[in-house]
Amino acid sequence: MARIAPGNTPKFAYILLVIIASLFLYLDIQYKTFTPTKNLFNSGLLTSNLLVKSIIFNPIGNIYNVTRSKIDLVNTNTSLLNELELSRIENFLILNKDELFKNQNGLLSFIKSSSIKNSYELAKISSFDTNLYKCCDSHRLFLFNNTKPFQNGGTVINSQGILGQIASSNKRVSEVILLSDINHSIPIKSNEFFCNASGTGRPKVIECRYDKSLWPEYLSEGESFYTSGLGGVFPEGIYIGSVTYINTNNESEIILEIESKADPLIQNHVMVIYPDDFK
Amino acid sequence: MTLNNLIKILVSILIGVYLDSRINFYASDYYLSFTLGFLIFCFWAFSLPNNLYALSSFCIGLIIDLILGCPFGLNALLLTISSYLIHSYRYSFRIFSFLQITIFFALLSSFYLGFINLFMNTANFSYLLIMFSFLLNGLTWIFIYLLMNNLKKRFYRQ
Repeated sequence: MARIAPGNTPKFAYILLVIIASLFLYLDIQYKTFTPTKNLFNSGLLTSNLLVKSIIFNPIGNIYNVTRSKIDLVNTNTSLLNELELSRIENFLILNKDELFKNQNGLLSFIKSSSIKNSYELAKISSFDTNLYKCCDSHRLFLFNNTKPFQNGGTVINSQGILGQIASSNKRVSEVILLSDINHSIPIKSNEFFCNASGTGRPKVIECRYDKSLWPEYLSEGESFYTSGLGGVFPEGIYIGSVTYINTNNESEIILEIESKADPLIQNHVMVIYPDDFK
Repeated sequence: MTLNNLIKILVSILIGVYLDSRINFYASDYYLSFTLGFLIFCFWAFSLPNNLYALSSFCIGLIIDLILGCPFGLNALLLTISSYLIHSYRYSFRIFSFLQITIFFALLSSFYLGFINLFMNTANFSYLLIMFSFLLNGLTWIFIYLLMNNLKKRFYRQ
């Protein structure tokens, strides 16, 4: 077995930097001290990405398309795809208008009125770290702001259902915390059963923990869950998903695993909606 | 070390980190996780023991933290500690066989992965992932060693 050979490794510098790094780590985890720095860096990165794309890659791509005389076709195709995505979201909104809007006039009055943009906004996803989404507890995505930053707490949906809510915004982008993020919690219900479902850190999976003695009725796999509207952030009655697994290993506590229907990986556009009593 | 060389090292590590994020999206379904960026860093610390010291490791770690959105200081801490370990053993490596060196770096990358998961994936921490990744990163180290040695000869000038 080889022993550590004597060398001239400067221990002091290492010890000092390990202490500094630990301090950074503690401050970031405990007080989120470096979150503005990270957001600033992210937005700078996104802006430079966009600039590089629009200045270098897009013109090169366009030259290729021009030589093939297909540029119009490509543009039309892209805009049609975007329109299709938006119409899917709008379809979802129309289908769920009774649940999403407490106003009895429904969605049509919102569309006709000029204040439509205040009730919901369409947004494009600016970045989504899919690796982090699959590997880790933190499930966040970023949206490009429209004319102004999205309001914190706004519900983010795609054509399949609720994805999450706006957690923070800066001038350029808004951060969305997804339902499956370990720090997220959403009040949901199934018939008479109410609970606060928290994220598990696994893609699309949220879980409800409850005391068996408080709710003796049996809930089965496949049971559908909807938003309860409690808390006033999420609109009431939106389908969230169904129970995929019931963990009864713990004697006092039951854990329901619910797979969310909405998949954040399928679309580049989402919609941010604000309940009537939100503003 | 010249700034030019530091940039080359940084770029190679960032390419590794980028590839990690692309590959791990699919690999994580099979309880596997690559640490290409970390192994490339280890390669540089291993092959240039007199150049890649504490401060450069710390700075590279901070840059990775910023890019990956990890808790700030996590990669800086782990890379600094790894750099210290590699430097402590730099004379011992001379009498190690290639297999021993491979096992050393596979273990080191497993510790790295374990700590990253401890901070970023607490709820779903998986020992299976760490064990499978130990084997995977051992094999990856062989590939990285051969590839980076080649690239080093071609691009790195003292």
